[in-house]
Amino acid sequence: MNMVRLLVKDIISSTVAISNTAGLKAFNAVQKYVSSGQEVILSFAGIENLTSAFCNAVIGKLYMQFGEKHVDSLVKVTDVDNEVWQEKIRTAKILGVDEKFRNADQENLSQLFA
Amino acid sequence: MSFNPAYIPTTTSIETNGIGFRELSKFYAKTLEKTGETFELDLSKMHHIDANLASVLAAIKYRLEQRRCKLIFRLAGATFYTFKRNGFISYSNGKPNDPSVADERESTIPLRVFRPDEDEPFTQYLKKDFFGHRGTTSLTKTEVDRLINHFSEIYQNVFMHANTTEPIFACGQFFPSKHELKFTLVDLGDGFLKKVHEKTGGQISSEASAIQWALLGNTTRDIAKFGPGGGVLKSIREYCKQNNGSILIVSGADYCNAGAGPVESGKLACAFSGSMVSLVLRNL
Repeated sequence: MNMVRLLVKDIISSTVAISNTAGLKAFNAVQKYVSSGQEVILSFAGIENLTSAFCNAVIGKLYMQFGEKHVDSLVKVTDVDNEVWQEKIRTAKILGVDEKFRNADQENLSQLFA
Repeated sequence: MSFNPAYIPTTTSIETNGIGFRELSKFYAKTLEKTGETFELDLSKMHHIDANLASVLAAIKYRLEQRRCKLIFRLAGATFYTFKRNGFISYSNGKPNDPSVADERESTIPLRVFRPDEDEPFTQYLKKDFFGHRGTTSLTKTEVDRLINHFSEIYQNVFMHANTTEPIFACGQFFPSKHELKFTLVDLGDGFLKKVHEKTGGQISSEASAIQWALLGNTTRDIAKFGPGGGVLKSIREYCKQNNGSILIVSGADYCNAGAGPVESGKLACAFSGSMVSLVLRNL
């Protein structure tokens, strides 16, 4: 089966990838292939702005839903030459995979009332 | 239309801190529950007002106009010129986002009004108006990328909690000689408490606690729907700390200012509708 190449900017019809809802659109586009075991290239070519909200909604949710092994074997993220964005994508993956990390920031409420 | 006496701030300087926001809220308090009246805010005696606070003044004017009130600003001297250069005077005269506004000194960042989901115009604002700016030429590409990212995260975060279709007001100012940048984003939505109260099962019941909860890295994000994440304000606070700066958040009648030390919180004279997020970054 040929690898499918999905362009983020085509999926969200924008060069700006900053909202949760845009991230969810990208997730829905990718997960179709991942759930049927098809390899996907997710290209960020032409994207001008990217936030963690977007990355978490697509990358983080993919890892949360399908697991690290499955996503690593099927999804290849390309065309991310921005150092800050690379960090965001790495963090989204960790958040999706590692529940401990995901909950690390959820501080105890009692801290507020100490 | 009845005309109220001009309000003159009790200080001669209004900066991006709790005292500054409290001063602006004292004026706003005078206008609450009034309809069809005229108010005047006399800033003509001010020695200084941070230009980024034009976003707060614009939001106040917008709210008053919704109540069919008229708001007149009296400005003079340096304050007048600063507010002319950043487009506030045009906004006050009914011309928001006036394309003819130009700041030849390049120290102000224009006041802009965004509708929800104007992701592309907001990105262009950051790239062109913020970082196409004389004051930022010393920043490396990675630093610019990081700042664009932080501002975009705040913008996205505001829409998440604001739950509003009303406009968002953005404005900034560079102080090139001090290597300092100030930026304020104002929304007219729900504020912090509503969603945080729901998320914590009622354990958080004040705006100040809701802001602090968010600053600690907690999130109201619907993880099942939008995937993991949140904690954006915590990471921005860390970034501000590294830059000797601070993040100040107003929600309702409470504010929290988080810099390098403990979070300072306080009360305003009245609740502003929605929330305001200000970043002060130094050592740029």
